[in-house]
Amino acid sequence: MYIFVTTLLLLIILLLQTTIFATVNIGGIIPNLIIILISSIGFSRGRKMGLIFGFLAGLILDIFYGPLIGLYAIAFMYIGFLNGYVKRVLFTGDFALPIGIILLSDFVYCNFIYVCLYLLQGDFNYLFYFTHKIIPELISTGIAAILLYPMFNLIFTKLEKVYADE
Amino acid sequence: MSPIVKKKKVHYSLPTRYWLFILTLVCVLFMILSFTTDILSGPLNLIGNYTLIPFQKGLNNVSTGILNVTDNFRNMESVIAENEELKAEVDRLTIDNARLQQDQYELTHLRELMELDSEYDDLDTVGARVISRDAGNWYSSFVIDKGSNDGISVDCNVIAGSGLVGRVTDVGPDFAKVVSIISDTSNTSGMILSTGDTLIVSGSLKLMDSNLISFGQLVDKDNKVGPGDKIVTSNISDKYLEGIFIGYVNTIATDSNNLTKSGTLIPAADFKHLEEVLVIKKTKKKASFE
Repeated sequence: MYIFVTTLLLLIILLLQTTIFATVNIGGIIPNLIIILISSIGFSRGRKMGLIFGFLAGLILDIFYGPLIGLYAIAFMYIGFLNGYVKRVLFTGDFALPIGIILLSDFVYCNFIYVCLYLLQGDFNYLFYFTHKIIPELISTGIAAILLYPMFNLIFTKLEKVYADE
Repeated sequence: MSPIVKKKKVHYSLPTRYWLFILTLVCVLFMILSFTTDILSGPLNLIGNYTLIPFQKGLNNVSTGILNVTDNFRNMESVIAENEELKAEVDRLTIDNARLQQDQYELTHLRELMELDSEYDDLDTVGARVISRDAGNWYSSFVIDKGSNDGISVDCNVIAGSGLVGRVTDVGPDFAKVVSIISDTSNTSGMILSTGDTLIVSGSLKLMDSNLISFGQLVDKDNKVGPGDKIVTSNISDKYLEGIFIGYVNTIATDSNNLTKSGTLIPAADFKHLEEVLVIKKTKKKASFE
């Protein structure tokens, strides 16, 4: 049940991000919804689920858009895994810390992509990417996280109850 | 007879760190495989083709719908003003057109005389719709709704309007992945139409927002090239067909080595509003074999 609903949610978010948000966006900057979902999974269900769903999401992205199969997969997988550690210290009802951690994950993710796609090609202009890509992405992801994280949190706690009853 | 001991069913699950280790290895293997060969893209594309592509096609209609509604509100006033302008332009263009038709007639006549068959006059193209774009802000690729079932293969050139957009890098039965020439990882061999000097058009994330593409390695000793010159794909490219229009020279400056020049160009295709593209079925490799 949990796996089914989460997979469905993942597909919906992926489709939203690549179709509607890719076309209808503000200033050409797309919020990173996938990272919000993967982090939420990590927060609610721990390292293993974060890892598996991160891998799944990254792999789908790789097939359609990635320059290299496995690049996004490895990034999202480690984000899901590391955010799984947060499960232990997180209290329910606290929104500031998870959203902060989502932003931190997005920052790490952006830097990872910069290193893999640009730095290794010999592009050392980090400051440009920082001001033009990373900061706008962080802001838009932050706003999206404020709206979406409580919703994901609600879904996952509901699922947790169903899971416990079974 | 030995007594049957009922064993307790052990619920075995792999520890998380093993999962991490195995999946990391899988990722690294995938990266190496996709970097060196294209074994992976076949089966993975097949899976993608029947799971996500149908939904993307549907949702894309929704998003263009939303875009149209917002655009309608925004554009109402400007459309009226534009209409007036366009009417004046139509008159001007009709006159131009008549003159160009005359030129065209002359051109074909001269070509016949020289027995010069232009190789790419009758390009076999297929129209396709852009159904989804790259999920992040880092890389410029998109997916179109036609694939190998419609005769598209890897390395097919993609054009929109009059200009080059990019090329197909991956193809599934009903979709194809296109990497655009504005993408940071793409380099295209081009040439200045008027002088025939070759140059390298390389996409850059920095210029993507201002709708420009950078170019470099242009050897132009006589300083003949200036802003406004047309750039087309060159004959030495092994991926792009010769003579596809890329754009106009915007700025040009001599490099610090005093030998080559570099600058920016304005692409002919509108990369911000790609909705429908044309895919040329003929690839350069096939063309050279025929």
